[in-house]
Amino acid sequence: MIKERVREAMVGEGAPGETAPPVVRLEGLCKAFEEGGRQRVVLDKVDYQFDRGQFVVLLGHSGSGKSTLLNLISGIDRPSEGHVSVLGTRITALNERDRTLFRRDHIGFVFQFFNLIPTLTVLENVTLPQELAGRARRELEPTALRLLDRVGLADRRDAHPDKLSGGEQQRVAIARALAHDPLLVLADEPTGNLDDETGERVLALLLELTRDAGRTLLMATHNPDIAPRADRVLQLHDGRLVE
Amino acid sequence: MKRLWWVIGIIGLVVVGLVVGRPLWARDAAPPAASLEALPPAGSGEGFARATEPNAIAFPRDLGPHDDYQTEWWYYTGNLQTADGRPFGFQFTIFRRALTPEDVLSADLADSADLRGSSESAQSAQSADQSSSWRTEQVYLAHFTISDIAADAFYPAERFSRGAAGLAGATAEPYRVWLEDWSVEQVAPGQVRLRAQTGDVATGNVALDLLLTETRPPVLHGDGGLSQKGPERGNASYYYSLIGQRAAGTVAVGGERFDVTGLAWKDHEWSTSALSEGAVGWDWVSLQMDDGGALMLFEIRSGAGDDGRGGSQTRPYNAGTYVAPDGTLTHLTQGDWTLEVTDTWTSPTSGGEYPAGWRISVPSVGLELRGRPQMANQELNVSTVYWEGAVAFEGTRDGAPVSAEGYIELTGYAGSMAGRL
Amino acid sequence: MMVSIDLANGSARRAFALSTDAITGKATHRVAGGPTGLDEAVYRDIRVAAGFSPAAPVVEGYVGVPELSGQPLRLVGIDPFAEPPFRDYFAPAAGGANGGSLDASALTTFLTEPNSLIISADAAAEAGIALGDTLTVNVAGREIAARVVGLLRPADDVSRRALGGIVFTDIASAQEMLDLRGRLSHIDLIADDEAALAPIAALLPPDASIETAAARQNAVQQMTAAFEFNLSALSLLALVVGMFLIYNTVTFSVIQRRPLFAVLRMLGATGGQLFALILGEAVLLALLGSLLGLGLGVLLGRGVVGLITQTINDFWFAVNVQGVSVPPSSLIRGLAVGVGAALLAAIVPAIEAARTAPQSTLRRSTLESRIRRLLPWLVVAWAALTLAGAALLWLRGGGLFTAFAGLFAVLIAAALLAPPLTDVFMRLVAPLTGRLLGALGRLAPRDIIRSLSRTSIAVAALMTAVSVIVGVSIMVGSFRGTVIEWLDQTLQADIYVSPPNVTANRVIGALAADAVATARTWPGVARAVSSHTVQVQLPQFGRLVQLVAVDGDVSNGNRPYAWVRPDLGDDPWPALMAGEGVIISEALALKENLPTPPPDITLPTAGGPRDFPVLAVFYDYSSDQGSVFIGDATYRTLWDDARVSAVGLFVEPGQPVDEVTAALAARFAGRSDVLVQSNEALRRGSLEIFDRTFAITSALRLLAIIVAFIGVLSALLSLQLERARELGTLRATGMTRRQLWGLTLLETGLMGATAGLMALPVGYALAWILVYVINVRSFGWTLTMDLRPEYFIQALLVAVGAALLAGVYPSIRVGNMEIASAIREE
Repeated sequence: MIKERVREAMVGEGAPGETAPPVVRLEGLCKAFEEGGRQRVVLDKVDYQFDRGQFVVLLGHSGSGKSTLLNLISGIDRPSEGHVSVLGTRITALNERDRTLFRRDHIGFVFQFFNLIPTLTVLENVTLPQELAGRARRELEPTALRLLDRVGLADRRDAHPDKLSGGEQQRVAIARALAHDPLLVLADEPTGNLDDETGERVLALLLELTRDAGRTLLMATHNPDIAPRADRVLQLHDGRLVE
Repeated sequence: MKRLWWVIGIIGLVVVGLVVGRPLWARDAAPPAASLEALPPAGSGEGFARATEPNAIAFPRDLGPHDDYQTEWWYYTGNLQTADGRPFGFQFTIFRRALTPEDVLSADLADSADLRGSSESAQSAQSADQSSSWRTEQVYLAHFTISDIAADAFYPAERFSRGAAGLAGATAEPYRVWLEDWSVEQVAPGQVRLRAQTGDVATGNVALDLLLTETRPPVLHGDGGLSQKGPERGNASYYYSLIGQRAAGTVAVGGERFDVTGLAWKDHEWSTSALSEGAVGWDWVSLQMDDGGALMLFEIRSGAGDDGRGGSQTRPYNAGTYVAPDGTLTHLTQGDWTLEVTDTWTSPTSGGEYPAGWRISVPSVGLELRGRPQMANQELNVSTVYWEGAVAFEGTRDGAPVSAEGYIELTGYAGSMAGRL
Repeated sequence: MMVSIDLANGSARRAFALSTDAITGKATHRVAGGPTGLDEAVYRDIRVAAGFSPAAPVVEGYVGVPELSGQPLRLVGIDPFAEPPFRDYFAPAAGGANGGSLDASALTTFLTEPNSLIISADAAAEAGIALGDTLTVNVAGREIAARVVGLLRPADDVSRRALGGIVFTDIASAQEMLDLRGRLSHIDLIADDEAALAPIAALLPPDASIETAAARQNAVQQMTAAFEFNLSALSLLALVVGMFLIYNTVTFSVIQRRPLFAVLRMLGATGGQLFALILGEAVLLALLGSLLGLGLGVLLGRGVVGLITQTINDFWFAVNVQGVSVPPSSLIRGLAVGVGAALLAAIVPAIEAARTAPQSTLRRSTLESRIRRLLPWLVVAWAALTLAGAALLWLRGGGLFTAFAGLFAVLIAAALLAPPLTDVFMRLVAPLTGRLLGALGRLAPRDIIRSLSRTSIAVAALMTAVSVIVGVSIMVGSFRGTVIEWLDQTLQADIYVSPPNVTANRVIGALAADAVATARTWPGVARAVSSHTVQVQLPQFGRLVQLVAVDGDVSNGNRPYAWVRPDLGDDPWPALMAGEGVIISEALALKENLPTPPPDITLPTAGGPRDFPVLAVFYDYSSDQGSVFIGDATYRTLWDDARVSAVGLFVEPGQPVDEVTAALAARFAGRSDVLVQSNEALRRGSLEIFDRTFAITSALRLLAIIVAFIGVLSALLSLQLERARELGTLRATGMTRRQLWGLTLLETGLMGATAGLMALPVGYALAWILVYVINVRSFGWTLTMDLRPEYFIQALLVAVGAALLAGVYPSIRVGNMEIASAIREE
């Protein structure tokens, strides 16, 4: 599978850096929206790359294009121009189905509004992406439970999301994002909908489970307080990325 | 009394009455001219018998119908009064008209039997007993009026029927002419019962029930009953009258019933012929005098009928009969008399201007009479509009005073009859 | 749909009323006679002896005129002289000078030329017939040439339409053409009060009676009342399903704009204002929709009216519908019902909109939890309503109305049960699908449960539609099966000789006497039984029934009986032949609610009414009006009517039936007034009529499906709108488009299956009610319920199929959604 190959390329014994492709490479990325009959350029010829294990914070005011950038990287959205490569795969060249499969296998996603599936239990929410990939639930459950344990919610495995607090929901969402062991985790304002204290705990958990595990975490937020803990802080301003 | 032409028209109008579809006794005077013009020519009597022979009338045979002639009527008029002198007049007429000659009918039947040509049913359809008893060529029309002279009220009524299925018809022996429950029928030799009534809501029950008793032999008009109407052979009618019939019975009008007596006059005439070209109407006079004499005259008017004047433009076939008290007949022809109009009356309903006063002079029998209608409005606004009413005359015969009562008929005054015929 | 049925029904009824009016005219009363009509002498007596003027004789019958119309026409023989007070068609058209209108010469010809016709100018123009053309009038197989001598152009539209189905001829021609010489069908009278009729009553023969014109019309119209009521009820059913649809649609529009409502609420709109807004919208839309529906209804009505007319012609009386009349009352009713139903259906969504909180994220779950709390109560409501429905059905002697009320109660109750049952079913099925299909299999049933307020409505709509299909299919199938069996038992003779019928199911006219004789003595024929069918009005009930004079049992003893007088054993025929009484049909017994044993039946004989004991009650599916069998000898004596309308022949054993039939047919070859049919052909013909009669039900079935389909579709669409973010998440977390399609289709399939499964018992219940209650009360027919697995399988397939089909568009739509915006929304 691609995943194994990619992983080998990334974490194998071979020398890191030069040989391994960056986790994310943006080439001349442009995104423009029609808005009120006028073109609004959100991203303007962005060239960038993020390396493995980095915690990158993407700052920008509301509507600056942070979420758009994350969507482009995850393949949910398509750019107007330019390319996105994730783990050496140029996803902008993939078709919709392959993008979906790629995302399912390599990318974890954490949303501002948690976006848990209300009809599924906590455990089922965590195993869902891999089940969709055709894996049997039974073989997924140990990993999922382990993850839930890590986020401190193992005892709530059979609860439905609407019985959980916002922080708990976001922790389930983090577990879900990590269940398939992705190298890249995208988080869009993961603390935006939480109070400060809960947000802090969720952030800590997220960092612990990503950077410390060698994953790349790309987090969009408008909260500058998070910036100091990042490896890199990027500012999205007028369609441009600046450090 | 040469009503013949216009009666032909009337019977033609039977059909028109149906066309118009107006209810019986309708007072609507406007004639549906468009439809009338489409009437089949009334006089195209091909296939019918024609009146050609003098002295051909025989009784009782000729009391009955003559279906092979196109047109026929039994015409009763009379002047009645109650014991205390209240006067009434009545007219009761049954007309017959053959729509097509009988032999044409049977040919038709044979032609149009069964299309299918299955021998069995085709044959059966042709046999005579296969035709409905409603099948007929004979159409009957009846007019019935009562003139309540004291009340100045006039009650006309009209009925139609086919001459079949027992609904209307005529027989010679026993003598009977009927249209539904309007009938004249013999009850004893020389005596007939005449009955008619209407149940019209507007006028209440109007009824007539009279016994008529013959007192004098039949009067054969013209040449032994052959009354010539035009120059052509066959353009004539058979025409006889029973005059001086004593009438006794009851009249019912306005919810009251009156015992009455009086004198009645019957005409019976049949023919197949056409109204002469240019005729617009005619006047007919029947008078019975207190000295036992009687006078019948008819004049056909032609040209501008609007002048209302009968005398000036009459046709050569005007004729009349004077019956002397002793029964002697004097046949009158054009020029034997003068009929002068001395007054007129305009109908408020039809607008027609009718003569309403006359001076009659018949020098050859020494008769001088002046008279008037007994009441002005005796106009029938039925399928044909005409005036037929009771009249009273005074005058002299051979210098001796006489008075007379009778009926006068005036046609073609409310719209020309010519357009219809 | 309702409008179209209403219109078609109305059109047929009106066409009949019009043609009746056209015949009745201004008559207030009529003199009616026995089965052979009246002696024409009665009319003469009325006119001449009684001197009663407003009287008009009528000789009428049904004929075929192929050049003019495919439907039977009423040949009306009139006496033009008696007409003016009654009917004014013979007046020239207003405005006069039109060459084609009736003129005097036309009437002269009409009177004098045999077989001359006057027809409506419109009908003539439509058929391309000109004045003077010769038409073929088919009277019970005899073809008679008749010439059109007049065209009627009535001034008003009503008369014009009324005259379309009438052919006038002179009464003499009518008697000749219809072979009714010396007879009249009836005599019309105008009288202000009964007193005016006393002199007429005094001179009537015993078999004649005076009845009011209205009573007669009622007796005839009553014949189709049940049929029309059934149709109306079915159209109401469409409305019920339609209400689900409206509910779903309005809900959809509310959900779609929930953000807008939230904003409005924030800006200060009160809940009441939102409520009014939604209802106002619903009214506007309903108005638009109803108007559109009216247009469609009128169009559909044109199609349906043919079916209905055909049925009425087949079974009851000839009616000639010239197009669909669209009375404003029908339209207004349709509009009112449409808007009313829409309002009713929109109330719940309107309340939902009114309760939209400014912050609307949690709206759905509260609504759903409310629904969940409601579930037990729905079960209670179901039980109560079902019991009420059962009680209504149980009501002895209850009319058709209560029966249908009961039917609807049961049906609506079943719809109420849809949410709890859906819930239970999904819980049951979830583990199974989960095991089989993994995450999708778990997701689908749970999604359905979660959105019960949407899904169960769709399920209810689909269930209603499908159960109607099941019910009607079973009913029609049972009916057909019963009729086939009945035909098998009843039609035992090998050959049938009859006049060809102008209409399908009713015997009109009689067989030529020579044909009867020929058939009876035909070589190879062992036995012949004759029958003569006439229509009489039973004075006891005021009902028109078929009186059938029989001289033998055409079923050869195989006929099943509902009841036989105990002392007669199994076979009432010897007693019938001996003139001991009559055999009546089950329909008559049921419709008049006769007890068992039935009381004596009074028949109007030529010598006045006479009572006859009832020997037996037989099953008869040929007439819903009731039939009375009477011994041939008794009939001939009491009615003085020698005609025979049909002969059944039993071929000698050993003789080849086909050859005897063919030989007899050859003997009558070329005779269009005799029809020789084999047993097989007659049976086939009967079934053809049957199938034609129920053709309209298949249209109804299709319609129900379409409505249900749209219901499921709109339910799915609104569901997807609500779940956009959830679906977006699924996509974002890696669900492929195909998997999403699968999920959607799985959900709709499950909904369809639920509806289909529910529809099975409900459909069975409906069928039971239709067969054992509605049919018995409408037509007086007892049917044997015929259950076949294919009805149920078909229903299930239809339900799942319709649901899956309805899921196609939504799943494509959801596949193409923008994940990015879906996630961000709300």
